[in-house]
Amino acid sequence: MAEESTAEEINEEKTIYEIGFHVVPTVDEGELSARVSLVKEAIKKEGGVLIMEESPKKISLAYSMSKMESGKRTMFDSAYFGWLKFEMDRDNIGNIKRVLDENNDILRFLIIKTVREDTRVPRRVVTAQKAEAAPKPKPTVKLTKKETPASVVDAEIDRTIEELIVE
Amino acid sequence: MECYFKKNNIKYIDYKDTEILRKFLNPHGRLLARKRTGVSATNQRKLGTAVKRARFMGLLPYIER
Repeated sequence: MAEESTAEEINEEKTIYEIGFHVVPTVDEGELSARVSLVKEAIKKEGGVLIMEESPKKISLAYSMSKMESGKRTMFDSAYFGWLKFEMDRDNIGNIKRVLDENNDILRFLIIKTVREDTRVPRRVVTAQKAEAAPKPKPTVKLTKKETPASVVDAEIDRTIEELIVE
Repeated sequence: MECYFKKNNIKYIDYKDTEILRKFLNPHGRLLARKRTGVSATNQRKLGTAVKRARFMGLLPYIER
């Protein structure tokens, strides 16, 4: 019993977090994983355990975002968007925020509390709905259309055969 | 009208699923009312949060057109 209660306490202290982030588009694609690993190391250092992640992919932003770089405001229309899901003590998440704030490669980030399961909607739901929305073909109409030209073609063939025979 | 999220067995509304979130926005990028979406009260609140998160992250626009 005593063991169970301690296990529960540990679970209560740990919270599942997700960080969504934009890496500035000026970073080379080859260097992206190295830049993300800096954040991952920080998470590990603070006692976090990575659960799920998606590596940054280039997306065009819905509106242009600005970032102060050495006293100059720079505007960005695209960025590399990725996310990390991890488990961590509530007390340490502030340190992660600080790391991200200080990182100049990160254009913007969002830390949210979430659940262990994958919260994204499975692809099949989206595709199934698209198929439903698409206009359905009318097979009966097509069949009748096909039948008439077929008979015409038959008649034409017959005529050509007759012509050949005459020759 | 049955709630879209209950019908499709969607438990969590993720801000990254912009394709689904867009269904509930009008051409100006504003969130549709519950009267129009037919989403349950709980899910409409979650939907609002998800849309706001997606807007902050530049996945959805604050205003369109």
